[in-house]
Order: sequence, then C-alpha cells, then structure tokens
Amino acid sequence: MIALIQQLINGIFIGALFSLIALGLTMVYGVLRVLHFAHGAIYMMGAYFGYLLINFYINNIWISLILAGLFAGFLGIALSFLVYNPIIKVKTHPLAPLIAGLGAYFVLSESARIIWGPYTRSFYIGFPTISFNFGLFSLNFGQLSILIITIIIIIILHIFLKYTKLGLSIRAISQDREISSVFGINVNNVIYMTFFIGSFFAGLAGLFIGIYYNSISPSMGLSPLSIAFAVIIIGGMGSIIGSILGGFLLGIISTLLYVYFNLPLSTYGYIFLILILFLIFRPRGIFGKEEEVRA
Amino acid sequence: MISVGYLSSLLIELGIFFILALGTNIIVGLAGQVTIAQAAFFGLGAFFSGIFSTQLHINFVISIIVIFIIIFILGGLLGMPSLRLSGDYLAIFTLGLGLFLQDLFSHLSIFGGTYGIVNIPMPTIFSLNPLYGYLIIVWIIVIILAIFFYIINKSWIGLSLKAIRENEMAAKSMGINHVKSKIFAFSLGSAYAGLAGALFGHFVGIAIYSSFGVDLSVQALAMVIVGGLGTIFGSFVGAILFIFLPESLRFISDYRILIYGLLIILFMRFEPFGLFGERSRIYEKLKEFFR
Amino acid sequence: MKELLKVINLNKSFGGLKVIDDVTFSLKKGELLSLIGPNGAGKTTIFNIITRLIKEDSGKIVFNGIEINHLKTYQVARLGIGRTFQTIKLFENLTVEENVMAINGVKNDRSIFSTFYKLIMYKKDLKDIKDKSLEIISFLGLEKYKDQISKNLPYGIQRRVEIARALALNPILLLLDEPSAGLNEAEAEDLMVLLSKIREKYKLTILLIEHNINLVMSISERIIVLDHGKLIAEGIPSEIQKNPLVIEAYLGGGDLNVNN
Repeated sequence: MIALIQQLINGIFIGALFSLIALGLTMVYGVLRVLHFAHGAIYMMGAYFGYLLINFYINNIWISLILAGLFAGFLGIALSFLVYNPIIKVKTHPLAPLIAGLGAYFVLSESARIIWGPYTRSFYIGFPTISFNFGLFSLNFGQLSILIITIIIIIILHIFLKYTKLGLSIRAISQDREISSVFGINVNNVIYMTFFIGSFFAGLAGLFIGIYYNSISPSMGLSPLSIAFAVIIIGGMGSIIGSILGGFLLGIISTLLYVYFNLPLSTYGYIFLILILFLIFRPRGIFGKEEEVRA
Repeated sequence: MISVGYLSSLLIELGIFFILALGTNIIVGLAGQVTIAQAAFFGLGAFFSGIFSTQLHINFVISIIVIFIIIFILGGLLGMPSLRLSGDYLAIFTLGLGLFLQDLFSHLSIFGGTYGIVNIPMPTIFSLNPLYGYLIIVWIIVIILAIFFYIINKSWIGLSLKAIRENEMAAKSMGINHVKSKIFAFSLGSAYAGLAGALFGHFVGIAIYSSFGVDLSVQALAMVIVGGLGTIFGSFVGAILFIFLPESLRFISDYRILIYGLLIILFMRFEPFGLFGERSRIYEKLKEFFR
Repeated sequence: MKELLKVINLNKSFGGLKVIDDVTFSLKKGELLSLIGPNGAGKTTIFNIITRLIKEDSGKIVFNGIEINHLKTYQVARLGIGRTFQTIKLFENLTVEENVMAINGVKNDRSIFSTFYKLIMYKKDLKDIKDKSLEIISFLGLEKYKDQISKNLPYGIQRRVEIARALALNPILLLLDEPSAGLNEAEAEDLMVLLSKIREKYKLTILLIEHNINLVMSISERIIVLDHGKLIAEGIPSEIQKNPLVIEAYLGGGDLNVNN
C-alpha cells in the first residue's frame, strides 16, 4: 500500500513535468492552430543554455533556470518569426507549418549535436540531496521543488489568462481568431508572446530535468515532445486545463502501468499506447471540442 | 577510385530508399495524407525478413511477398483512424504509432530485444557474387514497384486519391469512396515501406530497433517533399539526394540531417510540391517544353 | 407526379443555437425548387444534412422512396444527388478535365474487382471516362479550358466546372448552393440559360439556394423561404413576392421586387 502511494507521488512528479512541457504546446496550438514540433528542440536548448550557465558562468541553479527560460522564450519567438509565420502567411498547404516545424526540430537538435557532440553531459552542481519525509511517502528536493514551481506557475498562469489584457487576448484568439482581430487585438504580437511564454516553460522544464537526472543530450527533446503530444491529445488540444490535468493523469497512469503491468514496453511505450488508444476512441480528449477533429 | 563493390552497395541502398520514397509518395503525394510512421513499417519489414530467413528458413521470394501482404494489411489498420482524424491529429497518431512500435521492437524477444536480429543472409542467384546478384534482385523489384506506381498514378485510382488530396469534402460529396481510397493509400504506401525494409534487412544483415526511429520517418518525408510530390521521378530524385549524394560526398555526411531539416523548411516555404513534383514549377515548365 | 425528395421534420442545433427548426418540404420529380431566406437562415445546413456531411438531430430524409439518413456522404452522392458549394471546392491543382474525370469514374467503382479492372485495364478505363467527360465539358462550353489547372481559371469558369463535375455523377437531383455568387449581371444570365439547358438535357430535378432574387423569380417553379431555421412560406413566385412574412424577414436585406 505504501509502495502504491509512493508510486503515485512519483507519477505526480513526472506528471508535473509533463504538464509544464505540454502547456507551451497547447497554448501555441490554441492561438495558431499549428502543432509546433520544434517545441521539443526548445526544451533541449533550454537545458543546454542552462548547462553553459551553470558549468561556466553562474553557480546558481535558480537564476540559471530563469535565464534558461528567458533564452528559450526568445528562441521561441525567433522560430515563430523565421519559420512558422512566413509559411502560414503563404497558405500553401495546411500541413506545411507542421512539417516545417518538424524540419526546425531537426535543425536545432542536429546543431546541438554538431556543436556539443552526441554524448550526454552533466552538471557540476545539482540539487541538494535532502529528502522530505511525509509519513506515507517521501519526496526528494528536486521532486518537491518542481511540484511547488508547477503549482506556482499554474496559479500565475490562471491569473494571467483571466485578468490581464494579454491573457484575455490569448484566450480570445484561441476561441476565434478572425473576430479577435476585428476587435483590434494585434494577433501577430499575441502569437509571439504566446510562443515566448510557452517556450519559457519548456526551457525551464528542460533545464530542470537536465539537472535532476544530471544528464543532457541533443536528442533529449524527442521523448518529452511525444509525451507532450500525448498530454494535449488526452487533455484536449488548445485546452490549458486539459494539458495540466492531462499531464498529471498521464504521469500517474504511465508510472503505475509500468510498475504493475507486464507488457514488453517501457514507461514511454505505455504513454504512446495510451496516446494511440485515445486517438482511436476519443480523439478530442477530455476537454477538447468535437468539430475540430473531423477529417 | 571507387570500387565496383562500393558502387554496387550504394546502388542497392539507392534502390531500397527509392522504394521507400515511392511508398511515402503514395500516401503523401497522391493521397495528400501525412505519415511519420514509415520507419515503423520499414522496421517491421526488416525484422520480418530476419525472422523469416534466420528462424523459419523461408525462401527469399516467398518471404518478400508475404511481408508485402502482411504490412499491406497492417498499413490498412493505420489507415482507419485516418478516416476520422484531420491532418494534425493524424500526424500525432502516426508519430505515436511509430514510437510505440519502436519501443515494442526493443522489448520483444522475437525481434531480438535490444540486440536485434543478426546474421540475416543476403540471397544469391546463380553463382554470382552475392552483392552483384542482390543488386539485380533489388532493382528488378524496384522496376516492378515503379511500374505499379505508374499505373496507379495514371489510372482512375490515382485520380480519385488526388481528388481526396485536393478537397476531401468535395470528393466525398461527388461520390468518391474516401474510406476505400484512404485505406488503400495507407496500405500500399506502408507495404512499399515494409518491402524496402525487408530488402534493407537482407542487405545490412541486421535489424535493430534503433535504426527505425522518427528520424528515418522524417527522412522519408523529406525525400518526397524535396524530390517531388506525386511523381516517380520526384521519388527517385529524393532518394538520390538523400542517399547517393551524402554517401559520395563524405564530408557532408555528418551534416545530413541538419541539411534535411533546412531543406524541409525551405521547400515548405517556397516550393511545397518539391523539385519534380506533380505541380512544381520545374515540372510544369518541362511539360510546356514538350507540348 | 412522384415526390423525388422528402425532408420531414428536420431539426438541428449547434451548441445551444437551433439552426433548423422542424423543417418539412418536398420536391417533385423534374421541378425546380428554390430555397431562399436571409443569411444564416440555415439553407446550406439543410444541403449538408441531405448530403450527410452533417448529422441531423431528428427528422427523416427520403430520396426516391428510400430513407437515406443512415447513409454516408459518398453513398448519397452515388444514389444520384449531386451538389455544388457556396465557396468553390474544385480540385484546385487538377485540370478541368481531371476534375470531371475523377467523378466520371465513380460509376463503376463498385467492388474490389472494379479496382483491379481500373488498374489492369487502366488505359481502356481512362479512355471511356475521358470520352464521357468530354461530352459534359463540351456541353458546358469548357473545351478550351479543359487542360488548364482549375485554380488558375476565372471565377465564372470555375463555377461552371463545378457544375460539370456535379453532372459527371449522372445525378437525378442537383443541389446548387448560390451558383450565381460572385457573378456579375451578364454572367448570372448566362448561368440561368445554362441551368435550363442542363435541366432539359439531363432531366434534372433542382433544389436551388440563391440570393439573386431576379434569378430566383424568373427560373423557379416553386419557392420555399427559410428564416432563422423555420420554414415561413411556400408557394409560387408571385405568391412569395407578396407574402408579408417573407417581406418582413428580408426587411433591410434584399429587395423582392423583380423590376430592377
């Protein structure tokens, strides 16, 4: 029983990370209606930027996390400006931006591989190795801090989306883009800001995971990206609540499945299986809308 | 100087990836669907070729045909969700399917787990040097499959696929059975990939899960996007650019995937039909020239 | 005279909004019925429901005596219901000829065997399809455009290609959704002439959605009027013109007076 609760908590921790990564993806999808494949590369780049900071310039994890997030945010804007925007404007093919994003992912991940080599690198400092015992379960420093950070982010995001002008603009554009521009919302700028925010979260998560597992590699973005897709499908594309709940749900379920089931799969394998099943039986996810899915 | 053996290997690889490009072109170029799962079917073909030859000792020709049929059916299963899912969702589905299968490959013992299947033999004909013999075998298969693609492209079947590609709602409303057509496209395109994979398995002698990941699926996409959507020549050019050139220009080879990524972005922006695609500018000019 | 199409007690809501409210009407074989009404009245939705692109909440559609509610879109099309769209939905990157040929080949696409036939005997199959397509193309005066890529053609010609494509299906009933939209006065008149011609040659029954009241009044035998999803009037053109409910529905909208 105690083991089950501990596994549940582990699942929640992983789920928090999934949510962070998926948030950016779902926000961008909400305003752009494009699946932003390069998101995984931004996550990876945040980790590498943080790696450079921590190992060579700044000895502080928390400042590096923020800076990595900012770096990732600007990278996101650059991607939107250089890759997505031009292609969406030309209107050649509805899938063109998606495929271009895929190309951009590889441009970034390969650049990292060429510059820093394909092997994993580690950090000179890590989280303090203290654990917090809560009776039925325990959390180490990293797990506790990510949970706290995620909760803070969720609260801030909620306030932001509900009460600030930019937040309302984002929600408006997600609902109906054309009408929003009629009402004077500068759609382009909002899109850039959305990329910034979403990429910030991704870069933050990337560095965090890098430090937690003490390893980063150029290909580290692919699995989280795929998991992020699973999260937003399960939660419903474009739904922020969906990606948060979906993230936690997926974290818990995949951890439990891996521990207690015996299929020839890794944790990731279970996640992809859940993704496929959802797409077959309930593509809109938990909070998505029906009409958007139809072929 | 380049040895004949090296050239033969290159040409065999070219043939294999030409088949992969043709298959991808059926799904993406003709039917207008998206797939990031080609690597999974390619891998399945390789694994099956390994199992059939090393464990079941089935004759090569029969093995190839059976693999084609099996993956044709499996590809059809992939096609079914395509009926309900739009482009983005379909892309994720194929991505998820590819990743799921790859994970499965690394865990199943029939596929050799993390070590894969080794010692897959190369079939020999008469008493020719196996490499040259295989070169002939591969290219006979290539020609057969290319002719098949040609017929499909020219026939009404191809036309109905293109109609779906252009405007599925209109196609449905005019009586085109999009169910049959889409499933057919996925079945055939995946079967081509599987067959290419089987040939690949016999060629390199090993089938291991790490060879069949997302980057291979992206390569398959890149081949047809850059080479040309919907045409045989486009598929061929794609295969050349992505196999022949990097191999022969060794110094580029480390930058290969980076360049693919860039090319994908550039072509999506400027020429989404690819260099020699059905409606690309070059192709149109060529047609005018011949008229 | 037999009733070709019967729409019975049709209802449809999107979200909380009721777009089709208990609509019942029928079409006799050979007649031309116009469906008019202010924007957003639900006219195109009715077309989409008849062709099964959208599912109704309740109600029956009976075509040629058969209830078609359970059929898929392409099956309804093959039964003999053709349609054009409000915004042109041609196969843009295909030529005019290919647009028509794509549909002309549908007729004998019945089974797996027909697929084999179409592949093995593709030359002969294509020739048959091509001949039939050329018939329609020339009847509609499109021969000189036949090898041009449809997205490059002028708007008016594209509209005609859409009609040619719909005819390739050998339809019994033709649903036309605002065929004169975007056409000027002269083009609209040509369209009228064209519609009469094809109606006569192909023995078509036509259900027409139109905003061009001139066109409607001069070509229709009967008119039904939809407002906010409800059928508010039904009758011959002269009756509809004088109907106070109809005039009110159009208040501020189109002018029902034919003498423009």
